[in-house]
Order: sequence, then structure tokens, then C-alpha cells
Amino acid sequence: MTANFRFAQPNTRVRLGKRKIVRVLRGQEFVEVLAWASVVAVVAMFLADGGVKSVTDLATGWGALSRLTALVGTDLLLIHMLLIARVPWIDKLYGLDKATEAHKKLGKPILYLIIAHFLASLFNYAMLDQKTLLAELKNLVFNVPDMLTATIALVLMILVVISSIQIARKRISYEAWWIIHLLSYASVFLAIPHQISTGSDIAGKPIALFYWISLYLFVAGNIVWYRFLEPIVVSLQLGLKVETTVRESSDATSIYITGKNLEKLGYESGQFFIVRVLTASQWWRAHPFSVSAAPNSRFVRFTVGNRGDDTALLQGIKPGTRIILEGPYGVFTEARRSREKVTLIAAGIGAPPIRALAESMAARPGDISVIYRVRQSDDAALVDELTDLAQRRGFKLTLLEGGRGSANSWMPAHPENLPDHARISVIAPWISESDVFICGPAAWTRSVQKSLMRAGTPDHQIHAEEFAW
Amino acid sequence: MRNVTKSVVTIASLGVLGVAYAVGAAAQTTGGFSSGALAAGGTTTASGGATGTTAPASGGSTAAASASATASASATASASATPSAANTAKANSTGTKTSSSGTTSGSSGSSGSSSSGSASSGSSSSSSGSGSSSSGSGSSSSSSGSSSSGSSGSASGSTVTETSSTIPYIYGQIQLTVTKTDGKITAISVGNSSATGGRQAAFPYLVQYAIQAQGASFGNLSGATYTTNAFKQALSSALAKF
Repeated sequence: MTANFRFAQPNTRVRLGKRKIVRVLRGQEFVEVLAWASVVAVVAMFLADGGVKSVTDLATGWGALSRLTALVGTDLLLIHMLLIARVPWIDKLYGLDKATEAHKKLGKPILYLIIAHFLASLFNYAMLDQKTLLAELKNLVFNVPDMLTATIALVLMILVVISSIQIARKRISYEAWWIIHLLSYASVFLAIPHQISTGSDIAGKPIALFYWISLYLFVAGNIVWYRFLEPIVVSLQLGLKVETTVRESSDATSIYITGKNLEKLGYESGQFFIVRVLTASQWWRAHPFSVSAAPNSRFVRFTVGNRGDDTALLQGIKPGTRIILEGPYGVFTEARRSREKVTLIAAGIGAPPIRALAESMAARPGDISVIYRVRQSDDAALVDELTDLAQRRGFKLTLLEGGRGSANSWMPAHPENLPDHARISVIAPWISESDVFICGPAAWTRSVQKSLMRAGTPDHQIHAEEFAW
Repeated sequence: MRNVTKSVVTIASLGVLGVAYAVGAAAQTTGGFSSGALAAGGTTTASGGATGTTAPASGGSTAAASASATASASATASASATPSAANTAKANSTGTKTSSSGTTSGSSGSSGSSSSGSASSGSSSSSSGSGSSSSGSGSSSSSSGSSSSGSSGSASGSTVTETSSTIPYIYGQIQLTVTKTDGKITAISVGNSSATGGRQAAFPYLVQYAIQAQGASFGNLSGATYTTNAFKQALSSALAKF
């Protein structure tokens, strides 16, 4: 795009100060306490129901263990699902990347709990019936109602977790993983009947019944609405379509999307959408892209790098193609800014959100400093627009061009081999008292964060969006 | 999370779990089965039933636990007491038959006679009078009113007995003989029912629940879901014959 881009009006007011950060922290605290309370609640219900007192010998001990692991495991499983439901209130507090991280961390412990539940009830029943484990397993699975579906649910869950551990993720394609992951919904559903018919902790216990039904409905409602219905409803209402595509650099293309009442999307600079292109081959694969221009009434713009796979296809997308946007997501926005000075740091295809932030952030000349790291200037997407913005708004733009300096450096080579944190303090002298927004590849981002810590920027002023996930 | 919040949450959690544990410890439990409060609310009907009633050893917590089989034929003394009140009252059957006549100015001696704690289910004593408030002392009117019917021993009604069909289930089979007096279930005998793996320990509880609920609409017994269901089926089949 050339320099005659029609920029949107920047924000004119922004709330600054520590209180803003404190408010977010309180919100996070509230949600965490709530999640913790749900675990305490199920354990409390188990205890109040005589869970410990019911243990009189080894067999009943297994029985109690089976109940407890099932209760805690199921409770965590529902939280685990909520974390990946792309729920706006979780996103606003943590950002989808953090929620996804937590989701990943919870997966294995939940599986361990459910496997423990399975084994404990097997031991419990085998001892009560005085059968061998194998005979009891057969009896449980085939004679006890709803236990067959529950066993299938467990097998599916094991499959899902195995396909998600790192070694497996490297060996199978994203699509294969995704399809296997869909089975987790089936797993959760198949496990429900045995919880009601065989579970000792729901039937005839009104409080427990109420608790579990509410929790299930709450999670299911959030998933169905926010993950499936809302994006479709809103996108179709607005009639989102590809207007045009524009080549930005050797490997990046901007996609302009139009529709009615675009302000209804309600996004901010720095946020991203999960973009679903409705073509025969791509409709089922969605990709996250950051908006690369400030919100306006004319278009939503994404700038996509060519990384092979689907992003290559997106470059040749035809005008008029229908689009579904899921989102907006992310807390990489001015809402998290607490200081007057801002430093925006981008690398490669991390430029789009930085470019959008530079366009819309409230600032006086000199308040904002932009650092753009590229290997060669001709794969520097959006560099013209950034230059133009810097000129118009009085920002300092520093292009860091060239191959990497030393092994752990995030900057190009320096003649005197100055360390990164010293160099950043020269480029942006107020770095320690500014909000820093970083967008780039994960390893590079971590390296920048380290330099910032050394340069004295407090943790809560550093904002980074995990780009690849 | 702030450290302050963490400690507050930790302490609160421990408190909640502690209370829950205490509640659980007070709940009725035997042989690995447990149950919380029964679904049947309000009043609990303790019935000194006829023969065959296998009442469980009193857990000392609910009123009905003290109801017992009397040798005398079907003297139904139904005293209504809220479970909680009876709970505090420790109204165990005490062997002494409190044939308190109408007035019973409730000082210690008369009603309930100082809960001896022993789970002996001697003679009727119809939940020992303590209709409300503490054991024995001062429960006056309400206790006297109810227990009087017990003392009079009026078998004022017909007694009918029906036997259910045998319900087989995965852990055994259940057949019940239900006795109704004045249209009320007063006794249930488990007859030649059987269950594996110690599950027969659930029978006394189920009998007690069924009598309290006057039917099959009572809660599930933890750890004995299938036995409960089979029991309810058998009970329904017997009740259908009346």
C-alpha cells in the first residue's frame, strides 16, 4: 500500500496509571478464586456426604478414591473446556494465549485423575464381587448400564491427550490433531450417562444435582454461543466479504474485508480475529490474524505473511469470498497501557498489530517510539505506512535491518558488540518508564523481554502476544 | 494472586472442608454406604412396626433409627418429630417403655429417660417422646400428644401383607414383603433377598428409608445405587398389589 493510505483518527483520550493494572489483577483474582472454589465445593460435597466415613476397609477405600477423583477430574475438565471456549470475559482478563496455555497445562492432570477414577472403581468392584480384575472389567463394561459408553469416553480422552503431547504433535499434521481433538466433545458427552445412573454423588442429592447441572449448562452455553453461534450470526448479519487483496512485500499480502455496520465487530487495534474463509477447501480451517489497521467504518484489514500452508492460499483469495470472523480477541491493546510513553517493537510479520496500534494510540508527538526488526527491507511489510504514520504523528521509527548479531541477540550485529539492553536504552531512552508492546516470533519475543528486564522496564508494563499457537 | 487473597482463600477452603467433613462424619454410615439427608422432608414417621422389620443399628442421628421391632403385634405409635430436633435430642430407644399418659409434665424422668445411648432396640418407646428440644427435659405437650397413641397401643386398623415379585439385578435379587396397617407401610421384610459383596448391608437402610418415605421416592444410597434401584422396583411391585 502506498503512502496515501487514509488513516483513521487516533484515540484522543486514554486512561493511564496503576489503578488500571490493579483492576485487571483483581478481575483475574476473582476468576481464579471462583475456579478454586468450584474444586473446593465438589470436595466439600463429597465430604459432607460421608465420603471419608464410608471408608471401612480397602474396598470401600477404593470406592471413595474413585468418587473423589471423578468429582475433581470432572470439575477440572469443565474448567479446562471453558478455557478454550474463547469466552470474551476470560479473554479480556487473560488473553486467549494465556487461556490456551492454561488449557494445555490442565490436560494431562485431568486425564490422570480420570484414569485413577477408572482403576479405583475397578478395584472397588472387583473386591466387592470377589472377582479377578479382568472378570470384573468385563462385568463392569458389559453388564453395568452406561459403563460401556463411559469406557469409550475414557479411551477417546486418552487418544486426545496422546495426540496433543509434544512428540505426537510434531509427527501428525495440524488437521489430524484437530479432528482427533474434536473427539473430546464426544468423550465428555459419553461420560455423562454413567455419572447420573451409577454415580453415587448426584442421584438423590438435590444440591449436588443442581451444582452439576448448572456447571454443565454454563460451560456448554459458553462454548455453543461464543465458539459457534455468535461468530456465524454476527458475520452473516454484517455480510462480511473479501473486498480486495493488496501485495505488501515479497511475502505479505493485505486482505481487505467489507461489510455493513463494521463498528458492530467492536474491535480495537492490537486485537486479532480467527478468520474462516468460506471456500470449499478451507471453511473448516480457521486462522488467527491480527488486524493491521485501526478500526474504521470502511474495512477490516489483515496482513498475512506467506508461511506456506493455508496462508499461501489466502494470498490468492478471490474478492467476494464470504468470511466468518471469530473474535475480536486479545489484550494486546491500549486498554493495558498505563504509562504516557509507549515503545512498540515488531519483528517480521509481527508488524500488523504494531502498525494498528501506532495508528490509533492516543499520543502527543514524541510519546511513541516504534522499533521494527526486519531481515531485509523488501520483506518489511507495512514499512511505508509506518514511516508515514511516524511522520504525521511525530513518532520515532527505528528500522533494525540485517542478519542477527550474536546468537542470543534480537538485534542486527553491532560494530562495538554492545549488549541489546544497552542498545535499546539508546534507541528509546525512556524505555524503563514506558509501556512496551512486543509482537514477533516466540523465541525472539522472549529475548526482547529479557533485554527489557535488564533495561529496567517493570513486568506489568511489558505486553507481548504469543503469535504462533 | 495476592498473598493476602491466597491465605484468605486457603483458610476459607480449609474451613469449608472441615465443616463438610464434620457433616459427613455425623451422617449415617455403615458398611461403606452413606446417605445424606433424605429427600422426604419435614416430618419423619418413626414406627414401631410389626415383626420382620429389620431396622438398622441406630446410628444415633436420625429419629427413625430408634424405631424398633416390638414383640407385640402392630402397635403403631407414630410420633412425628423433625429429624434435626431428634438429632440433638439423642432420642435413642432406651429399653424403658415410656407409657406417658396424656399430660407428662416433661421433667427428665418421663420421656425418653435420659438417652442411654445403647443401641438396644428393646420395646417400642416410640421415639421416646422428645418431639422437640432436648432429650427428656421439658418437651411437654408435643411429646405427650404423640406418644399417648403409642401407649394405648390401639391397633385400630387392618393389617395387610403383600409380597413383591423377585427382582434380579446384577448383584443378586430382591424380594420384599410389605406390611401395611391403616394404609401405611409399617414393615418391610427383605425375605430371601440376596446381594454379593456385602451389598446386603444396604437392605436395612433401604427398609428404613422406604418406611420413612412411605414409598419408593427416597434418595439414592451412596455406594449401592443398583441395590437401591432394584429395591425400589421390588417395593413398587409389592405396593401395586395392595
